[in-house]
Amino acid sequence: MKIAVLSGKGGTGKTFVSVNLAYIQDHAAYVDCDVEVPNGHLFLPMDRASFEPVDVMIPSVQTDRCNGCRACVDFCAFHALGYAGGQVIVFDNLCHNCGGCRLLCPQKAIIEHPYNIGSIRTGNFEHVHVVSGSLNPGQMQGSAIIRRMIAQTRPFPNQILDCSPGNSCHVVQGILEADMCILVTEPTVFGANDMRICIELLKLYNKPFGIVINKSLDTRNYIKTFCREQHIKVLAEIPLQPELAVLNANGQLAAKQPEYRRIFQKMLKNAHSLVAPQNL
Amino acid sequence: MKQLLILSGKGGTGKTTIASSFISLLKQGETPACFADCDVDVPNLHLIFSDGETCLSQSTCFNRRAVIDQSFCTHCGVCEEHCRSGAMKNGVVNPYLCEGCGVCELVCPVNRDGHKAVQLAEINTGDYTVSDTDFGIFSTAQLKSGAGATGKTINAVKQNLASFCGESQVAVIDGSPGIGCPIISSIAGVDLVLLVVEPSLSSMSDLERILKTVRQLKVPAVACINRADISPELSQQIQLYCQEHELPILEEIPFDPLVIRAVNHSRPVVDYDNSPAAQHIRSLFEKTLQHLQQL
Repeated sequence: MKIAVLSGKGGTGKTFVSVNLAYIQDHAAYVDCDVEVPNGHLFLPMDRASFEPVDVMIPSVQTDRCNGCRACVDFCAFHALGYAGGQVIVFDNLCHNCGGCRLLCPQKAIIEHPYNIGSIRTGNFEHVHVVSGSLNPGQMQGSAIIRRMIAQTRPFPNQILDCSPGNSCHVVQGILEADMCILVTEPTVFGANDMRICIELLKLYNKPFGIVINKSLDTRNYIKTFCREQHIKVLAEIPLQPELAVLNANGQLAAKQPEYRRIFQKMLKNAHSLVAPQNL
Repeated sequence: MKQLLILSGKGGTGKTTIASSFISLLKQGETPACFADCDVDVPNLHLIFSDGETCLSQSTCFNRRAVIDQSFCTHCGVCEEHCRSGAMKNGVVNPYLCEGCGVCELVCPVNRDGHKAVQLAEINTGDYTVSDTDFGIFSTAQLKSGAGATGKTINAVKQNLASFCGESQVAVIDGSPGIGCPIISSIAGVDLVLLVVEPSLSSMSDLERILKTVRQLKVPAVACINRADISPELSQQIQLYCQEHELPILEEIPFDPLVIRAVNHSRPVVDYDNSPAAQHIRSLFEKTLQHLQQL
Protein backbone atom coordinates (compact mmCIF):
# COMPACT_ATOMS: atom_id res chain seq x y z
CA MET A 1 0.00 0.00 0.00
CA LYS A 2 1.15 3.55 -0.76
CA ILE A 3 0.57 5.97 2.11
CA ALA A 4 1.03 9.76 1.84
CA VAL A 5 1.76 11.45 5.17
CA LEU A 6 0.55 15.06 5.42
CA SER A 7 -0.25 17.62 8.08
CA GLY A 8 -1.09 21.15 7.02
CA LYS A 9 0.82 22.65 9.93
CA GLY A 10 4.58 22.14 10.01
CA GLY A 11 6.36 20.36 12.82
CA THR A 12 3.48 18.11 13.87
CA GLY A 13 5.53 14.97 13.23
CA LYS A 14 5.14 13.91 9.57
CA THR A 15 8.73 12.75 9.26
CA PHE A 16 8.60 11.12 12.69
CA VAL A 17 5.53 9.07 11.67
CA SER A 18 6.84 8.39 8.14
CA VAL A 19 10.28 7.03 8.98
CA ASN A 20 8.91 4.81 11.74
CA LEU A 21 6.08 3.47 9.55
CA ALA A 22 8.62 2.62 6.84
CA TYR A 23 10.92 0.96 9.38
CA ILE A 24 8.33 -1.44 10.85
CA GLN A 25 7.53 -2.88 7.39
CA ASP A 26 9.61 -5.66 5.85
CA HIS A 27 9.91 -4.18 2.40
CA ALA A 28 8.90 -0.57 2.21
CA ALA A 29 10.22 2.42 0.33
CA TYR A 30 10.47 5.72 2.18
CA VAL A 31 10.16 8.66 -0.24
CA ASP A 32 11.00 12.11 1.16
CA CYS A 33 8.83 14.49 -0.89
CA ASP A 34 9.62 17.47 1.37
CA VAL A 35 12.34 18.48 -1.08
CA GLU A 36 12.73 22.01 0.30
CA VAL A 37 13.75 20.79 3.75
CA PRO A 38 14.21 16.99 3.60
CA ASN A 39 14.94 15.37 6.97
CA GLY A 40 14.06 11.67 6.62
CA HIS A 41 17.67 10.81 5.72
CA LEU A 42 18.75 11.93 9.20
CA PHE A 43 16.69 9.06 10.66
CA LEU A 44 17.37 6.59 7.83
CA PRO A 45 20.99 7.27 6.84
CA MET A 46 21.82 5.43 3.63
CA ASP A 47 24.75 3.13 2.93
CA ARG A 48 26.52 4.04 -0.29
CA ALA A 49 23.69 6.20 -1.59
CA SER A 50 23.55 6.76 -5.31
CA PHE A 51 23.38 10.40 -6.29
CA GLU A 52 21.43 11.65 -9.26
CA PRO A 53 21.32 15.33 -10.21
CA VAL A 54 17.91 16.60 -11.27
CA ASP A 55 18.00 19.00 -14.19
CA VAL A 56 15.15 20.82 -15.86
CA MET A 57 15.25 22.27 -19.35
CA ILE A 58 15.47 26.04 -19.49
CA PRO A 59 15.75 28.30 -22.53
CA SER A 60 18.66 30.14 -24.00
CA VAL A 61 18.33 32.49 -26.94
CA GLN A 62 20.54 32.29 -30.02
CA THR A 63 21.11 35.98 -30.56
CA ASP A 64 22.00 35.61 -34.25
CA ARG A 65 18.55 34.22 -34.95
CA CYS A 66 16.49 36.44 -32.62
CA ASN A 67 14.81 39.36 -34.38
CA GLY A 68 13.62 41.02 -31.17
CA CYS A 69 9.88 40.36 -31.68
CA ARG A 70 9.48 39.73 -27.91
CA ALA A 71 6.73 37.15 -28.39
CA CYS A 72 8.48 34.95 -25.82
CA VAL A 73 8.68 37.80 -23.28
CA ASP A 74 4.97 38.46 -23.65
CA PHE A 75 4.11 34.76 -23.38
CA CYS A 76 6.12 33.91 -20.25
CA ALA A 77 3.66 33.74 -17.34
CA PHE A 78 6.49 33.74 -14.80
CA HIS A 79 8.38 36.86 -15.94
CA ALA A 80 11.45 34.73 -16.51
CA LEU A 81 12.20 36.47 -19.80
CA GLY A 82 13.02 40.12 -20.25
CA TYR A 83 14.18 42.30 -23.10
CA ALA A 84 16.97 44.82 -22.61
CA GLY A 85 19.88 46.14 -24.61
CA GLY A 86 18.51 44.67 -27.81
CA GLN A 87 18.39 41.09 -26.53
CA VAL A 88 16.29 38.62 -24.59
CA ILE A 89 17.49 37.96 -21.04
CA VAL A 90 16.62 34.71 -19.24
CA PHE A 91 16.19 34.80 -15.45
CA ASP A 92 17.11 31.17 -14.83
CA ASN A 93 15.61 30.71 -11.38
CA LEU A 94 12.25 32.26 -12.28
CA CYS A 95 11.77 29.82 -15.19
CA HIS A 96 9.12 27.14 -14.62
CA ASN A 97 10.54 25.13 -17.54
CA CYS A 98 7.23 24.88 -19.34
CA GLY A 99 8.96 25.01 -22.75
CA GLY A 100 6.42 27.46 -24.16
CA CYS A 101 8.93 30.06 -25.39
CA ARG A 102 10.78 27.51 -27.51
CA LEU A 103 7.54 26.22 -29.06
CA LEU A 104 6.34 29.74 -29.73
CA CYS A 105 9.42 31.47 -31.19
CA PRO A 106 8.73 32.26 -34.85
CA GLN A 107 12.49 32.47 -35.56
CA LYS A 108 13.31 29.14 -33.86
CA ALA A 109 15.87 31.16 -31.94
CA ILE A 110 15.29 29.44 -28.59
CA ILE A 111 17.01 26.23 -27.61
CA GLU A 112 16.85 24.47 -24.27
CA HIS A 113 19.67 23.33 -22.07
CA PRO A 114 19.74 21.39 -18.80
CA TYR A 115 19.77 23.43 -15.60
CA ASN A 116 20.43 21.81 -12.24
CA ILE A 117 17.81 22.46 -9.54
CA GLY A 118 18.56 19.68 -7.07
CA SER A 119 19.23 15.99 -6.65
CA ILE A 120 17.86 12.62 -5.62
CA ARG A 121 19.75 10.25 -3.34
CA THR A 122 18.73 6.62 -3.29
CA GLY A 123 19.99 3.86 -1.03
CA ASN A 124 19.14 1.51 1.81
CA PHE A 125 18.95 1.85 5.54
CA GLU A 126 18.85 -1.70 6.96
CA HIS A 127 15.77 -3.17 5.20
CA VAL A 128 14.23 0.20 4.15
CA HIS A 129 14.64 1.52 0.61
CA VAL A 130 15.24 5.26 0.97
CA VAL A 131 14.66 7.91 -1.71
CA SER A 132 15.40 11.48 -0.75
CA GLY A 133 14.95 14.52 -2.96
CA SER A 134 16.63 17.85 -2.33
CA LEU A 135 16.06 21.26 -3.92
CA ASN A 136 19.11 23.53 -4.10
CA PRO A 137 18.76 26.61 -1.86
CA GLY A 138 17.78 29.63 -3.96
CA GLN A 139 15.71 27.54 -6.41
CA MET A 140 11.98 28.18 -6.57
CA GLN A 141 10.42 24.99 -7.87
CA GLY A 142 10.87 21.47 -6.50
CA SER A 143 7.94 19.87 -8.32
CA ALA A 144 10.15 18.30 -11.01
CA ILE A 145 12.17 16.48 -8.33
CA ILE A 146 9.03 15.06 -6.72
CA ARG A 147 7.67 13.98 -10.11
CA ARG A 148 10.89 12.13 -10.90
CA MET A 149 11.07 10.40 -7.50
CA ILE A 150 7.46 9.27 -7.71
CA ALA A 151 7.96 7.89 -11.23
CA GLN A 152 11.13 6.04 -10.23
CA THR A 153 9.64 4.45 -7.11
CA ARG A 154 6.32 3.53 -8.73
CA PRO A 155 7.14 -0.23 -8.90
CA PHE A 156 7.44 -0.46 -5.09
CA PRO A 157 4.12 -1.78 -3.76
CA ASN A 158 4.69 -0.50 -0.22
CA GLN A 159 5.59 3.15 0.10
CA ILE A 160 5.55 5.94 2.60
CA LEU A 161 5.45 9.36 0.90
CA ASP A 162 6.60 11.97 3.42
CA CYS A 163 5.05 15.22 2.12
CA SER A 164 5.74 18.86 2.85
CA PRO A 165 3.54 20.99 5.14
CA GLY A 166 0.84 23.23 3.69
CA ASN A 167 -1.36 22.21 0.79
CA SER A 168 0.61 23.21 -2.27
CA CYS A 169 1.08 21.31 -5.52
CA HIS A 170 3.89 19.38 -3.81
CA VAL A 171 1.40 17.85 -1.41
CA VAL A 172 -1.09 17.18 -4.23
CA GLN A 173 1.54 15.11 -6.07
CA GLY A 174 1.84 12.84 -3.03
CA ILE A 175 -1.92 12.55 -2.56
CA LEU A 176 -2.47 11.58 -6.21
CA GLU A 177 0.04 8.75 -5.97
CA ALA A 178 -1.21 7.36 -2.65
CA ASP A 179 -3.79 4.67 -1.89
CA MET A 180 -4.56 6.38 1.40
CA CYS A 181 -3.37 9.37 3.41
CA ILE A 182 -2.40 9.87 7.01
CA LEU A 183 -2.88 13.35 8.43
CA VAL A 184 -0.63 14.01 11.40
CA THR A 185 -1.90 16.68 13.75
CA GLU A 186 -1.32 17.97 17.26
CA PRO A 187 -3.97 18.98 19.77
CA THR A 188 -3.50 22.74 19.52
CA VAL A 189 -5.75 25.38 17.96
CA PHE A 190 -3.18 25.77 15.15
CA GLY A 191 -2.89 22.02 14.56
CA ALA A 192 -6.69 21.65 14.38
CA ASN A 193 -7.13 24.64 12.05
CA ASP A 194 -4.49 23.42 9.60
CA MET A 195 -5.83 19.86 9.77
CA ARG A 196 -9.28 21.09 8.70
CA ILE A 197 -7.73 22.88 5.70
CA CYS A 198 -5.94 19.68 4.75
CA ILE A 199 -9.11 17.59 5.12
CA GLU A 200 -10.88 19.83 2.59
CA LEU A 201 -8.07 19.12 0.15
CA LEU A 202 -8.25 15.36 0.74
CA LYS A 203 -12.01 15.34 0.22
CA LEU A 204 -11.51 16.85 -3.26
CA TYR A 205 -9.53 13.76 -4.19
CA ASN A 206 -11.80 11.22 -2.57
CA LYS A 207 -8.90 9.40 -0.93
CA PRO A 208 -9.40 7.36 2.21
CA PHE A 209 -7.63 9.04 5.11
CA GLY A 210 -7.19 8.83 8.86
CA ILE A 211 -5.78 11.05 11.59
CA VAL A 212 -2.78 10.55 13.84
CA ILE A 213 -2.81 12.73 16.95
CA ASN A 214 0.78 13.41 17.92
CA LYS A 215 1.99 15.05 21.15
CA SER A 216 -1.30 14.08 22.72
CA LEU A 217 -1.72 15.61 26.15
CA ASP A 218 -4.88 14.18 27.59
CA THR A 219 -7.65 11.79 26.71
CA ARG A 220 -10.34 14.43 26.05
CA ASN A 221 -8.98 16.61 23.30
CA TYR A 222 -11.18 18.38 20.76
CA ILE A 223 -9.45 16.79 17.78
CA LYS A 224 -10.99 13.51 18.88
CA THR A 225 -14.38 15.12 19.27
CA PHE A 226 -14.08 16.67 15.81
CA CYS A 227 -13.10 13.31 14.27
CA ARG A 228 -15.99 11.54 15.97
CA GLU A 229 -18.48 14.13 14.69
CA GLN A 230 -17.06 14.01 11.16
CA HIS A 231 -16.75 10.20 11.14
CA ILE A 232 -13.00 10.37 10.61
CA LYS A 233 -10.93 7.49 11.92
CA VAL A 234 -8.21 8.26 14.48
CA LEU A 235 -5.50 5.77 13.52
CA ALA A 236 -3.30 6.31 16.55
CA GLU A 237 -2.48 8.66 19.36
CA ILE A 238 1.13 9.32 20.29
CA PRO A 239 1.62 10.72 23.78
CA LEU A 240 3.60 13.90 24.47
CA GLN A 241 6.65 12.36 26.13
CA PRO A 242 10.03 13.93 26.76
CA GLU A 243 11.71 10.63 25.88
CA LEU A 244 10.12 10.60 22.42
CA ALA A 245 11.04 14.25 21.87
CA VAL A 246 14.69 13.52 22.70
CA LEU A 247 14.83 10.41 20.47
CA ASN A 248 13.33 12.39 17.62
CA ALA A 249 15.57 15.42 18.12
CA ASN A 250 18.60 13.15 17.88
CA GLY A 251 17.49 11.38 14.71
CA GLN A 252 16.72 8.06 16.45
CA LEU A 253 13.95 5.67 15.39
CA ALA A 254 11.36 5.30 18.14
CA ALA A 255 10.11 2.04 16.54
CA LYS A 256 13.34 0.31 17.56
CA GLN A 257 11.81 0.20 21.05
CA PRO A 258 9.01 -2.35 21.53
CA GLU A 259 6.59 -0.04 23.39
CA TYR A 260 6.66 2.55 20.58
CA ARG A 261 6.83 -0.06 17.81
CA ARG A 262 3.40 -1.23 18.94
CA ILE A 263 1.92 2.24 18.36
CA PHE A 264 3.14 2.27 14.75
CA GLN A 265 2.02 -1.32 14.12
CA LYS A 266 -1.47 -0.44 15.28
CA MET A 267 -1.39 2.73 13.12
CA LEU A 268 -0.42 0.71 10.03
CA LYS A 269 -3.07 -1.93 10.71
CA ASN A 270 -5.75 0.75 11.10
CA ALA A 271 -4.55 2.46 7.91
CA HIS A 272 -4.88 -0.81 5.98
CA SER A 273 -8.40 -1.33 7.31
CA LEU A 274 -9.50 1.96 5.71
CA VAL A 275 -8.63 0.79 2.20
CA ALA A 276 -10.82 -1.80 0.56
CA PRO A 277 -8.69 -4.74 -0.69
CA GLN A 278 -9.94 -4.37 -4.27
CA ASN A 279 -8.43 -0.87 -4.43
CA LEU A 280 -4.92 -2.08 -3.71
CA MET B 1 8.89 51.33 7.76
CA LYS B 2 11.26 48.49 8.65
CA GLN B 3 10.10 44.97 7.86
CA LEU B 4 10.98 41.97 10.04
CA LEU B 5 10.31 38.50 8.61
CA ILE B 6 10.24 35.40 10.82
CA LEU B 7 11.34 32.13 9.17
CA SER B 8 12.66 28.73 10.18
CA GLY B 9 13.01 26.25 7.32
CA LYS B 10 11.51 23.50 9.48
CA GLY B 11 7.88 23.84 10.53
CA GLY B 12 6.64 23.97 14.08
CA THR B 13 9.72 25.55 15.64
CA GLY B 14 7.75 28.54 16.99
CA LYS B 15 7.51 31.17 14.24
CA THR B 16 3.91 32.12 15.00
CA THR B 17 4.46 32.03 18.78
CA ILE B 18 7.28 34.56 18.41
CA ALA B 19 5.53 36.65 15.75
CA SER B 20 2.36 36.95 17.85
CA SER B 21 4.35 37.93 20.92
CA PHE B 22 6.23 40.60 18.98
CA ILE B 23 2.95 42.02 17.66
CA SER B 24 1.55 42.17 21.18
CA LEU B 25 4.72 43.87 22.48
CA LEU B 26 4.69 46.42 19.65
CA LYS B 27 1.16 47.37 20.60
CA GLN B 28 2.41 48.30 24.06
CA GLY B 29 4.96 50.66 22.49
CA GLU B 30 4.48 54.14 21.10
CA THR B 31 3.67 53.33 17.49
CA PRO B 32 1.04 50.87 16.37
CA ALA B 33 2.21 47.62 14.82
CA CYS B 34 1.36 46.38 11.42
CA PHE B 35 1.69 42.72 10.57
CA ALA B 36 1.14 40.15 7.86
CA ASP B 37 0.73 36.39 7.61
CA CYS B 38 2.74 35.10 4.66
CA ASP B 39 2.02 31.44 5.52
CA VAL B 40 -0.94 31.66 3.14
CA ASP B 41 -1.27 27.88 2.72
CA VAL B 42 -2.17 27.43 6.38
CA PRO B 43 -2.38 30.86 8.02
CA ASN B 44 -2.72 31.02 11.82
CA LEU B 45 -2.17 34.63 12.95
CA HIS B 46 -5.85 35.48 12.40
CA LEU B 47 -6.73 32.98 15.12
CA ILE B 48 -5.00 35.26 17.64
CA PHE B 49 -5.63 38.76 16.32
CA SER B 50 -9.25 38.99 15.27
CA ASP B 51 -10.31 41.11 18.31
CA GLY B 52 -11.92 44.42 17.43
CA GLU B 53 -11.42 43.67 13.77
CA THR B 54 -12.83 45.95 11.09
CA CYS B 55 -12.22 45.09 7.48
CA LEU B 56 -10.37 47.76 5.53
CA SER B 57 -10.08 46.01 2.21
CA GLN B 58 -11.02 42.71 0.68
CA SER B 59 -10.08 41.53 -2.78
CA THR B 60 -10.03 38.32 -4.71
CA CYS B 61 -6.91 36.33 -5.54
CA PHE B 62 -6.81 35.30 -9.16
CA ASN B 63 -4.54 32.75 -10.71
CA ARG B 64 -4.38 31.63 -14.31
CA ARG B 65 -5.36 28.01 -14.87
CA ALA B 66 -6.11 25.95 -17.98
CA VAL B 67 -9.77 25.28 -18.67
CA ILE B 68 -11.00 22.86 -21.33
CA ASP B 69 -14.21 23.52 -23.24
CA GLN B 70 -15.50 19.98 -23.52
CA SER B 71 -18.10 21.02 -26.12
CA PHE B 72 -15.47 21.07 -28.83
CA CYS B 73 -12.35 19.40 -27.39
CA THR B 74 -11.47 16.46 -29.62
CA HIS B 75 -9.33 14.69 -27.01
CA CYS B 76 -6.41 14.61 -29.43
CA GLY B 77 -3.96 14.53 -26.51
CA VAL B 78 -1.56 17.17 -27.86
CA CYS B 79 -1.84 19.33 -24.71
CA GLU B 80 -1.18 16.32 -22.48
CA GLU B 81 1.92 15.51 -24.52
CA HIS B 82 3.32 19.04 -24.04
CA CYS B 83 2.28 19.74 -20.43
CA ARG B 84 5.36 19.37 -18.24
CA SER B 85 3.50 19.84 -14.95
CA GLY B 86 1.55 16.60 -15.32
CA ALA B 87 -1.66 18.62 -14.98
CA MET B 88 -3.43 17.18 -18.06
CA LYS B 89 -4.77 13.68 -17.95
CA ASN B 90 -7.26 12.16 -20.40
CA GLY B 91 -8.66 15.51 -21.41
CA VAL B 92 -9.15 16.74 -17.83
CA VAL B 93 -7.15 19.51 -16.12
CA ASN B 94 -5.98 19.04 -12.55
CA PRO B 95 -6.16 22.68 -11.41
CA TYR B 96 -3.92 21.92 -8.41
CA LEU B 97 -1.03 20.82 -10.61
CA CYS B 98 -1.59 23.40 -13.38
CA GLU B 99 0.91 26.25 -13.15
CA GLY B 100 -0.85 28.47 -15.69
CA CYS B 101 2.04 28.52 -18.17
CA GLY B 102 -0.22 28.51 -21.24
CA VAL B 103 1.59 25.83 -23.26
CA CYS B 104 -1.63 23.81 -23.65
CA GLU B 105 -3.41 26.78 -25.18
CA LEU B 106 -0.42 27.40 -27.44
CA VAL B 107 -0.34 23.87 -28.86
CA CYS B 108 -4.09 23.16 -28.99
CA PRO B 109 -4.95 22.52 -32.68
CA VAL B 110 -8.72 22.92 -32.20
CA ASN B 111 -9.94 26.43 -32.88
CA ARG B 112 -13.55 27.62 -32.94
CA ASP B 113 -14.31 31.26 -33.69
CA GLY B 114 -10.86 32.29 -32.51
CA HIS B 115 -11.08 30.26 -29.28
CA LYS B 116 -8.93 27.24 -28.52
CA ALA B 117 -10.53 24.18 -26.93
CA VAL B 118 -8.17 24.66 -24.00
CA GLN B 119 -7.60 28.20 -22.76
CA LEU B 120 -6.22 29.94 -19.73
CA ALA B 121 -8.78 31.56 -17.49
CA GLU B 122 -8.48 33.68 -14.37
CA ILE B 123 -9.69 31.45 -11.55
CA ASN B 124 -10.72 32.76 -8.14
CA THR B 125 -8.32 31.11 -5.68
CA GLY B 126 -9.26 32.92 -2.48
CA ASP B 127 -9.40 36.29 -0.75
CA TYR B 128 -6.94 38.86 0.45
CA THR B 129 -7.99 40.86 3.49
CA VAL B 130 -6.55 43.85 5.28
CA SER B 131 -8.14 44.65 8.62
CA ASP B 132 -7.75 47.09 11.46
CA THR B 133 -7.42 45.09 14.69
CA ASP B 134 -6.86 46.04 18.34
CA PHE B 135 -3.19 45.27 17.66
CA GLY B 136 -2.73 47.22 14.43
CA ILE B 137 -3.12 46.77 10.70
CA PHE B 138 -3.23 43.12 9.63
CA SER B 139 -2.80 41.78 6.09
CA THR B 140 -3.49 38.14 5.25
CA ALA B 141 -4.97 35.83 2.63
CA GLN B 142 -7.30 32.87 2.85
CA LEU B 143 -6.78 30.59 -0.12
CA LYS B 144 -9.19 27.98 -1.32
CA SER B 145 -8.12 24.46 -0.53
CA GLY B 146 -5.29 23.26 -2.75
CA ALA B 147 -4.86 26.64 -4.44
CA GLY B 148 -1.28 26.67 -3.20
CA ALA B 149 0.78 29.67 -2.19
CA THR B 150 2.47 31.38 -5.09
CA GLY B 151 4.93 34.23 -5.28
CA LYS B 152 2.09 36.35 -6.58
CA THR B 153 -0.11 35.79 -3.51
CA ILE B 154 2.75 36.49 -1.11
CA ASN B 155 3.67 39.70 -2.95
CA ALA B 156 0.06 40.86 -2.80
CA VAL B 157 -0.16 40.25 0.98
CA LYS B 158 2.99 42.33 1.49
CA GLN B 159 1.90 45.10 -0.87
CA ASN B 160 -1.49 45.29 0.85
CA LEU B 161 0.29 45.72 4.16
CA ALA B 162 2.55 48.46 2.79
CA SER B 163 -0.35 50.43 1.37
CA PHE B 164 -2.25 50.51 4.69
CA CYS B 165 0.51 50.67 7.27
CA GLY B 166 0.58 54.47 7.58
CA GLU B 167 2.70 55.66 10.49
CA SER B 168 3.87 52.23 11.64
CA GLN B 169 7.61 51.97 11.97
CA VAL B 170 7.88 48.23 12.25
CA ALA B 171 6.11 45.49 10.32
CA VAL B 172 6.18 41.91 11.61
CA ILE B 173 5.73 39.24 8.95
CA ASP B 174 5.12 35.59 9.81
CA GLY B 175 6.61 33.28 7.16
CA SER B 176 6.00 29.69 6.13
CA PRO B 177 8.21 26.61 6.42
CA GLY B 178 10.43 25.53 3.51
CA ILE B 179 12.90 27.38 1.29
CA GLY B 180 11.17 27.53 -2.12
CA CYS B 181 9.05 29.98 -4.07
CA PRO B 182 6.75 31.34 -1.30
CA ILE B 183 9.72 31.86 1.03
CA ILE B 184 11.86 33.57 -1.58
CA SER B 185 8.94 35.90 -2.33
CA SER B 186 8.49 36.65 1.38
CA ILE B 187 12.19 37.48 1.78
CA ALA B 188 12.28 39.91 -1.15
CA GLY B 189 12.36 43.47 0.17
CA VAL B 190 12.40 42.81 3.93
CA ASP B 191 15.03 44.48 6.16
CA LEU B 192 15.81 41.65 8.57
CA VAL B 193 15.07 37.92 8.86
CA LEU B 194 14.76 36.29 12.29
CA LEU B 195 15.41 32.53 12.08
CA VAL B 196 13.80 30.35 14.74
CA VAL B 197 15.80 27.18 15.39
CA GLU B 198 15.19 24.35 17.85
CA PRO B 199 17.77 21.90 19.12
CA SER B 200 17.00 18.94 16.84
CA LEU B 201 19.03 17.49 13.98
CA SER B 202 16.14 18.24 11.61
CA SER B 203 15.91 21.90 12.56
CA MET B 204 19.69 22.30 12.34
CA SER B 205 19.79 20.75 8.88
CA ASP B 206 16.99 23.08 7.78
CA LEU B 207 18.76 26.10 9.31
CA GLU B 208 21.66 25.49 6.94
CA ARG B 209 19.31 25.50 3.94
CA ILE B 210 17.26 28.55 4.94
CA LEU B 211 20.41 30.52 5.82
CA LYS B 212 21.87 29.79 2.36
CA THR B 213 18.61 30.98 0.80
CA VAL B 214 18.52 34.20 2.86
CA ARG B 215 22.20 34.91 2.19
CA GLN B 216 21.76 34.46 -1.57
CA LEU B 217 19.16 37.21 -1.42
CA LYS B 218 21.58 39.37 0.60
CA VAL B 219 19.19 40.10 3.46
CA PRO B 220 20.68 40.34 6.98
CA ALA B 221 19.66 37.59 9.40
CA VAL B 222 19.68 36.93 13.14
CA ALA B 223 18.58 33.80 15.00
CA CYS B 224 17.14 32.52 18.25
CA ILE B 225 17.03 29.03 19.72
CA ASN B 226 13.59 27.97 20.88
CA ARG B 227 13.15 25.26 23.56
CA ALA B 228 16.94 25.48 23.97
CA ASP B 229 17.02 23.52 27.25
CA ILE B 230 15.46 20.39 25.66
CA SER B 231 18.93 19.49 24.42
CA PRO B 232 21.78 21.65 25.77
CA GLU B 233 24.27 19.62 23.66
CA LEU B 234 22.51 20.36 20.38
CA SER B 235 21.96 24.01 21.43
CA GLN B 236 25.72 24.23 21.93
CA GLN B 237 26.24 22.83 18.41
CA ILE B 238 23.85 25.45 17.01
CA GLN B 239 25.84 28.15 18.80
CA LEU B 240 29.05 26.89 17.19
CA TYR B 241 27.49 26.64 13.76
CA CYS B 242 26.13 30.19 14.01
CA GLN B 243 29.49 31.53 15.21
CA GLU B 244 31.19 29.98 12.18
CA HIS B 245 28.61 31.46 9.87
CA GLU B 246 28.48 34.87 11.55
CA LEU B 247 24.82 34.53 12.40
CA PRO B 248 24.12 36.31 15.72
CA ILE B 249 22.01 34.31 18.18
CA LEU B 250 20.04 36.93 20.06
CA GLU B 251 18.36 34.71 22.64
CA GLU B 252 17.82 31.18 23.92
CA ILE B 253 14.21 30.57 24.88
CA PRO B 254 13.47 27.74 27.34
CA PHE B 255 10.76 25.10 26.89
CA ASP B 256 7.60 26.28 28.62
CA PRO B 257 4.29 24.37 28.79
CA LEU B 258 2.49 27.73 29.04
CA VAL B 259 3.24 28.26 25.33
CA ILE B 260 0.85 25.45 24.39
CA ARG B 261 -1.76 26.85 26.78
CA ALA B 262 -1.38 30.32 25.25
CA VAL B 263 -1.87 28.91 21.72
CA ASN B 264 -4.97 27.03 22.84
CA HIS B 265 -6.44 30.19 24.33
CA SER B 266 -5.55 32.11 21.15
CA ARG B 267 -3.33 34.50 23.07
CA PRO B 268 0.30 35.54 22.61
CA VAL B 269 2.45 33.91 25.29
CA VAL B 270 3.83 37.31 26.42
CA ASP B 271 0.38 37.96 27.90
CA TYR B 272 1.33 35.49 30.65
CA ASP B 273 3.45 37.33 33.21
CA ASN B 274 4.69 34.18 34.93
CA SER B 275 5.86 32.43 31.76
CA PRO B 276 9.63 31.81 31.62
CA ALA B 277 9.49 31.70 27.80
CA ALA B 278 7.75 35.10 27.73
CA GLN B 279 10.60 36.75 29.65
CA HIS B 280 13.10 35.58 27.08
CA ILE B 281 10.84 36.53 24.17
CA ARG B 282 10.62 40.07 25.60
CA SER B 283 14.40 40.24 25.69
CA LEU B 284 14.56 38.82 22.14
CA PHE B 285 12.10 41.50 21.04
CA GLU B 286 14.26 44.32 22.45
CA LYS B 287 17.42 42.97 20.84
CA THR B 288 15.71 42.37 17.50
CA LEU B 289 14.35 45.92 17.46
CA GLN B 290 17.82 47.28 18.19
CA HIS B 291 19.19 45.29 15.25
CA LEU B 292 16.43 46.50 13.02
CA GLN B 293 16.97 50.14 13.97
CA GLN B 294 20.71 49.93 13.33
CA LEU B 295 20.14 48.78 9.75
